[in-house]
Amino acid sequence: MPISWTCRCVFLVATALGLAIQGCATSTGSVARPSVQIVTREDTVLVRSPGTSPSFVVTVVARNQGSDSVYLSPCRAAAERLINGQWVTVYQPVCTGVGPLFTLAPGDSAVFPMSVSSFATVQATPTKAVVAPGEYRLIFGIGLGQAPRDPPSPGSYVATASSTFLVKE
Amino acid sequence: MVRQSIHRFTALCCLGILAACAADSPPIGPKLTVNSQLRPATLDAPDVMASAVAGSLGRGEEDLLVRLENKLPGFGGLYIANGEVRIYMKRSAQSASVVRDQLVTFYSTHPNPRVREAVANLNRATVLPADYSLSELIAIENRVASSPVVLPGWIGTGASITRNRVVVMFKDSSSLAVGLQRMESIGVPLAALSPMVVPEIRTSSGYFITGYRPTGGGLQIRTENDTREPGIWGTDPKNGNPFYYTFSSTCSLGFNVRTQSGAEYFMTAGHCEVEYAGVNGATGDTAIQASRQSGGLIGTYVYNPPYDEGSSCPFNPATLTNFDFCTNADVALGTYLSGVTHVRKVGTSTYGGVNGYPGQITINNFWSINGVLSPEYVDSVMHHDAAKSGRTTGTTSGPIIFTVGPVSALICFSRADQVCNSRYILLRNATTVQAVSDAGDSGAPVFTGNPGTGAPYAAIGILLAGSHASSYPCTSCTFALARWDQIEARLGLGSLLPQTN
Repeated sequence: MPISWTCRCVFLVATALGLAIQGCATSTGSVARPSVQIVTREDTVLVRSPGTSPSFVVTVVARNQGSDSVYLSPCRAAAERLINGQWVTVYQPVCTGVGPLFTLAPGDSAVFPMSVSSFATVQATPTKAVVAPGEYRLIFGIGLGQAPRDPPSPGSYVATASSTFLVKE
Repeated sequence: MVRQSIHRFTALCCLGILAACAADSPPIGPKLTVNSQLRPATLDAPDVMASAVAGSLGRGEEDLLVRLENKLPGFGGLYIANGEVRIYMKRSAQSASVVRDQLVTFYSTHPNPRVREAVANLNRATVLPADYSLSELIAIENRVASSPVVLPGWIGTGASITRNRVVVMFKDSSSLAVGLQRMESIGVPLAALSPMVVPEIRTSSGYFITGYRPTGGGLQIRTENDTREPGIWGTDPKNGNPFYYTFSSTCSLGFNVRTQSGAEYFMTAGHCEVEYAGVNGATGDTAIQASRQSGGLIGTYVYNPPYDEGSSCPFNPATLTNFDFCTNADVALGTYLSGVTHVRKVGTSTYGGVNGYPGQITINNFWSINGVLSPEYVDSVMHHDAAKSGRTTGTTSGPIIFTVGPVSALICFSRADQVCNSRYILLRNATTVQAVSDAGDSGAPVFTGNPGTGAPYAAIGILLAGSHASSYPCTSCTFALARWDQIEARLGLGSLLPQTN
């Protein structure tokens, strides 16, 4: 599809603005933020037990692209489904403690399965916000540095979204 | 700066109130031995007097009294008890009637009409023999407060008019014994002291994550055991110093409870010990509040009913196998070490968190508990939210989502010094609340206002598990709790009473 000159101008201006803002942020010494790429190994996964307690398992691949160590946990995560054009949380794991923690040195990756089920939170969320076929993404709270000994204070994490994937019956 | 001033004022008020309230206790008179390296503190009394006359003493109403002493030598102050004015006079050189007349004249021009009203019957005042004048007491107080030697465990000092002594407060008797010796060495007459051992005074400077006595609901507790999991020596990367790293699990103290037979326990989540020991039903490990460096050991876990396992548990739709574990109440009890002070109260954050936000970890205060309520009553009859106070996210509150039902949760079934072995546990007959919690809040007290929305509070249960926010606000965050009735049934010790009195 051809792109009009207007669109090209808007794109160029937006790109220039974006680069300028990024440059300013760099020059003022912005606080280090984790840089983690999260993708799912599968583009499409199938729902298990459709109609009763729907759930699915997806394989998560997290890669630390930054220059500092980071840590993440399947317990500090959420599954979001695209409902009417908006990402809605349909599942959050419930954990007794910190849960399994992965510390990733720069360049390291972690691969782990994540089970998503509406079982635990079905009564906690809006009626439509349950596990069902659709487009999904995962959100992880990423901490910067080595995994601490004690649970860190709230707000020590940066939410990072995975690539999207499809869930089908 | 303003807050510091307020804290200082509050501490001074507390000191004054403590001293006044203890007026009926006889002053303790330790053996009087003069071994002063400094001149006796009472010799500084003229300096105190001079400051009062110059208007620079800065003690408020006591400035007036010291100025009065300047006119009435030996005056030790006055106070009101049971509506009667009582006057301390050091010497008997002046008759009681002369003393009364001078005071009547003095107070007739007092600028505060409420004070004039309070001492209206001065002409019938009782004159008591004093050992010290007020300026001498203040001089002694000043010497202690600006002690050139360290007074370990010292909490506060203040002249007590009602006792005609200087109250010195220490956190324990051993500190007091050392303090008395050292005070004597700096010219303080021990006979002028009224020593007291009191809990450390705290205003709002406490944190859920630091050592706090007496212990109460919401404070951080750690599970450790050097025998089960010895620590390791490491090197601090910041300064290169060696340090001893200990393994532990971090949770929150739920409630201090007593049984009907009078046994006292602290309550928290059972998995606080299970996730430390990697043993289902583990007991015997040590509880620490808040850490070895801050607070220290408080007791030992004695009850931790093991979870049902495997085939005894229902089918898990997430794994298509049985749950690894299941329980009606994931709860543990511990006994306190002798001398560890604790109260059956619950702490709350300076600012609580609602609508998907965490609360602060600074403690506002510890509040009374006056009963136990079922989630059904709280939700359906009272229409109250449920609140929890934990070491990580402080006090948060929100609506009860369901009052009894199953909740699937992940648990690390492994020792704290090993990699997490993630397993599924079914929390049966649990209640869920829409509010923020996080790792470390396990065991936290869950409560609600009774009968209003503030204190006193009623216990509902203890926090077992929750969803952890990736960012805030987290309006989808929930936590699950063990109901009080399930806790009692699981432990089998009869009624567990969290009530303050």
